[in-house]
Amino acid sequence: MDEKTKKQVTKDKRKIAAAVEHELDVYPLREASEDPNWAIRTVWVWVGIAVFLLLFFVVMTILGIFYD
Amino acid sequence: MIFLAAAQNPFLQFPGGAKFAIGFLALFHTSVGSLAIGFAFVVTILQLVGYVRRDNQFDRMAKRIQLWHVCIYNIGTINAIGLVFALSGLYPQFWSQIFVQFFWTLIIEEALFFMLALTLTFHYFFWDDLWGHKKLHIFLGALLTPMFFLQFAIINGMSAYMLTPGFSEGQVSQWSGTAGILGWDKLAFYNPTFLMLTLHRAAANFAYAGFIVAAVCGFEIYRAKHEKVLSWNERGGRLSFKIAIISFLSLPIVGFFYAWVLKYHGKEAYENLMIGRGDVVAGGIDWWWVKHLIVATMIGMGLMFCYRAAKYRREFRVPMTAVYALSFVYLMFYVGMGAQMTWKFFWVSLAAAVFGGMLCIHLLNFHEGSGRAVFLLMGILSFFTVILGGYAREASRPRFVSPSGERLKGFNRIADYDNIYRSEERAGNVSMAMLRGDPDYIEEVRGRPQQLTIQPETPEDLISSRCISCHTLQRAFRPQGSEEKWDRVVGRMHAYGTRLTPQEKKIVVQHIWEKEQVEKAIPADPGGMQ
Repeated sequence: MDEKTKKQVTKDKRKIAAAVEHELDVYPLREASEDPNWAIRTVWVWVGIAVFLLLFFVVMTILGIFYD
Repeated sequence: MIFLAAAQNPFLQFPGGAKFAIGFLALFHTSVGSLAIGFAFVVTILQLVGYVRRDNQFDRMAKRIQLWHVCIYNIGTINAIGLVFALSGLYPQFWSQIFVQFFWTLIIEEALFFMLALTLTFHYFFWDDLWGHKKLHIFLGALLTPMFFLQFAIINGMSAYMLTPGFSEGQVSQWSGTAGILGWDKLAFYNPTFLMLTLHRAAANFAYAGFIVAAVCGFEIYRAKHEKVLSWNERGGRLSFKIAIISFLSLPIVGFFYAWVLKYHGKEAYENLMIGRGDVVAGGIDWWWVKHLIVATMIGMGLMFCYRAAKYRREFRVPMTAVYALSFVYLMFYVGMGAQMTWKFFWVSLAAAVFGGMLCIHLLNFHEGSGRAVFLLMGILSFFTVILGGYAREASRPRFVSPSGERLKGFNRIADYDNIYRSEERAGNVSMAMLRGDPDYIEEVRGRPQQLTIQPETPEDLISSRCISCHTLQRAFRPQGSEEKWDRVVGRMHAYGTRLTPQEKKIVVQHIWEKEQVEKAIPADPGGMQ
């Protein structure tokens, strides 16, 4: 690798490192309205289904001790 | 040579043999699946710490771990499919029986796997899209832990049943829907050790995942060139290590109760572990000992790491009172094991713990207080304890019959299989004669049309028809060396469930032994044209 290329590679590595370090420094909380609606809706629907199913299975497993 | 032997052999044996195949697939699955369960827990803790402190280092670490989790989950699923294929192909009778007994629980298990995959996918891929709804995102990730716990409880119910069938009375569920669905065996699921096994393994999984995350952080510290990245991995590693060590220290508490129920409900397994019988000793090495020596080393290392972290008031230190108290519980555990096994085991374990502690001090000093080497080493040791623990547990499971070939009620597992309900719909040649009398609703079950049964006319017919339920005929002709050995083998097969009257058993043993003698007398054909 010639000198010029070496310097370019080092510069690029520094840029990537700086980007990673910058990412670690900030905790980018933002307004709820800035999140895409489709993602929010999907997650809420799924959370609802998952919580319902989880409770259902737990109740069935416990009832299975007494009945059946 | 192998191909030549295979070409001469009309039946292909599974590479390595059936036991090896199941063992390999199962241990692979355990090492990957346990990691997935632990990752879910560690990710949630990291996200919560990040949210409370408004520190993105922990959130980014959580995201990185969740990416590994997504990959691990896929690998574990594919491996599990292979395991089910192998079980149903190599041990069809076992698999169909266990599937009958745990049918509904396995359906719930399948539903949970699907829910887990979807939750995990949403949690990782919507990470950046949900920054404005951080609490919702953390809750989504937190859902993984109870889902995993329920899934784990179900699979451990089955696992524990294989070790301690306990109170199973073969009471089939009346709520089976139709006569064709096989219900589930409630008392088989709620067997003596299922709860302790679940709790013990859950804590072990959290410890395992925490140590592995810390190990990867340790590796990244070695590679890091920039101060911030180094500090990120050091802090993330210390937090993961803290989660791991707390879970690790809780193990002897749950483990004591697990050992207790094993001692009284799985006597033979308990003795196999303590005395070192059966497959627990393989290749001349007692792998239960090896596992516990590794654990002792980890205790020593963990103790000294926590001591140093407390002494220099490092971030995420664990209160030393708790560490000392729980290390004392571990010590008592080893004293108890030494009393039952040999005292040599106790002293060697103590030496291993002291060695671990000294090694930890050296590594911390060498790296000027950084935990990188300790993290790496603890991660590697933790992996081995998971593999060896899983192996020893399965290897200690009692065989179906005692060494003398008898079925001893209350001692061997097979006694409880006698009580298990078998519905009439099941094919006759792949099920055990397990029903003791008819259930009281047998009149309501639609009768099957009378099947034509062909009586075997020759010993070859008898062997061909009876000996193929669980394995290929190749296994039925593997040389044993003496008629007594064949008698024991066929007796074992009978205990496994092959239907043979005593007379038929005599015919089978005699015929196979005669055949073996004849084949021994025929010189091997070097041209392979025989």
